[in-house]
Amino acid sequence: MQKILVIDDEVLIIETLDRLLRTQGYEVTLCQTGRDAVERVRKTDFDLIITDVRMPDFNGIDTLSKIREVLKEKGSKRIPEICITGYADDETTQKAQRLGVSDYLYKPFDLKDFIGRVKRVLKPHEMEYFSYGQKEFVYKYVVMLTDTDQFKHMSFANYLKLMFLATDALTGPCLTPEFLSNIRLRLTSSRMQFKRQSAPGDVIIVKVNATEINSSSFSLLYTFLIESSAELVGLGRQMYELANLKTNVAEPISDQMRNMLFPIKVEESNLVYRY
Amino acid sequence: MDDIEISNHKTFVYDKIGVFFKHTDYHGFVHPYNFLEWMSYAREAFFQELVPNFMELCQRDIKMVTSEVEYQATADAFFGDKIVIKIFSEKVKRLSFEVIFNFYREEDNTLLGEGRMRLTFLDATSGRPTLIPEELKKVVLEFERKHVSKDIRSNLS
Repeated sequence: MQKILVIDDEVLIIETLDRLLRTQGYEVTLCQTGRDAVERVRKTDFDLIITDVRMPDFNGIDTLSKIREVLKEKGSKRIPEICITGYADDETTQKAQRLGVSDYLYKPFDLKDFIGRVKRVLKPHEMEYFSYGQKEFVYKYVVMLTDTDQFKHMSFANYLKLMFLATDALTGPCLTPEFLSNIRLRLTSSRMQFKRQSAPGDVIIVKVNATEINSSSFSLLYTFLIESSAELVGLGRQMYELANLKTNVAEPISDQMRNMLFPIKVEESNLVYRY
Repeated sequence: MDDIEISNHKTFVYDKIGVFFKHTDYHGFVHPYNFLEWMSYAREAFFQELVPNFMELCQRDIKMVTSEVEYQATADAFFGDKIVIKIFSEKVKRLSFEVIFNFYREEDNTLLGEGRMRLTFLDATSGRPTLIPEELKKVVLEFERKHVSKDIRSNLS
């Protein structure tokens, strides 16, 4: 049975979540303070931590930071985390986003949506793909009959085409006629590793993160997921460089492009799964 | 590469690709996506031409799955170019092998890029990895490029 630690100072909330999670077959531990939660993590191995962000004394961010330290001391790997907050824009929530938690929920939230998120995060071996912890560019695609072959699956080349489509959608705002008259975005390498196949009707989510941003080149990481089940389809990586059309010499990345890439940049060392 | 090639492997040549406008991008270069699609054409031509009863093999309870694909671009191609793909295999193991694709412009023999894909075989019922079908493996082995590291080579001599 998977163990979930729920931290919230509001009794009504933790009791509701307790009942709900137990009906889904999870073992639930409740804590009303961050300090208590940290002590529980020292003694018990949990599979998921759900915490309120705003709590008196020791808030959700401090609690998660401390829990991560404890896990490190124990030699345990990071646990998926879901943050619950009533304030979408405040500084504490932004800190939670920077901390790199697995998912966020804003109060009031739909209980069905809540359970869906818990299940998605707890999917064995797939949680890690959600743990980039920062913003990502998301591109959606519905697999069409025209994408599939007689073996009823989308061919590998079409997944790679999706990487190009996602890149075009991401970089589109920077590719002004003026930019394109002087500079080209040149692909230097493309790789993809496949984990499962997809079929017509599947909605594929392509999450794009930047992993390297150099003076005239950058590298993008693509995570392909089936929207309905959050199953991982594959991981891709592409490297691009900017080149002058006339001289073919490398061109520096424009400020606009840099501003587009930095919000989706991740440190590779933060990725549990690397490609 | 530090390794030294030691085998005299066969190479399959697929030379039926011409570049049309639909293959070019905003600037007139061939879009790199096309090389990935041409990899799928070339590998199917390779199997169809050399593996006896390839279609019958595809209908069996074994699925051939592309588990990894890679493409490194080295030069640009343009409208009107004729593309030649030279194919051979590498790392032929029990459950998987790699196919290497070298793309050349026919006119001046410029290397345009190198593609690589790993093919694995799954039992269609259980979804578990399974052995490469014998008739396919026999062909792939004839096209396998093998390497030996310099260290081993110096020890041998």
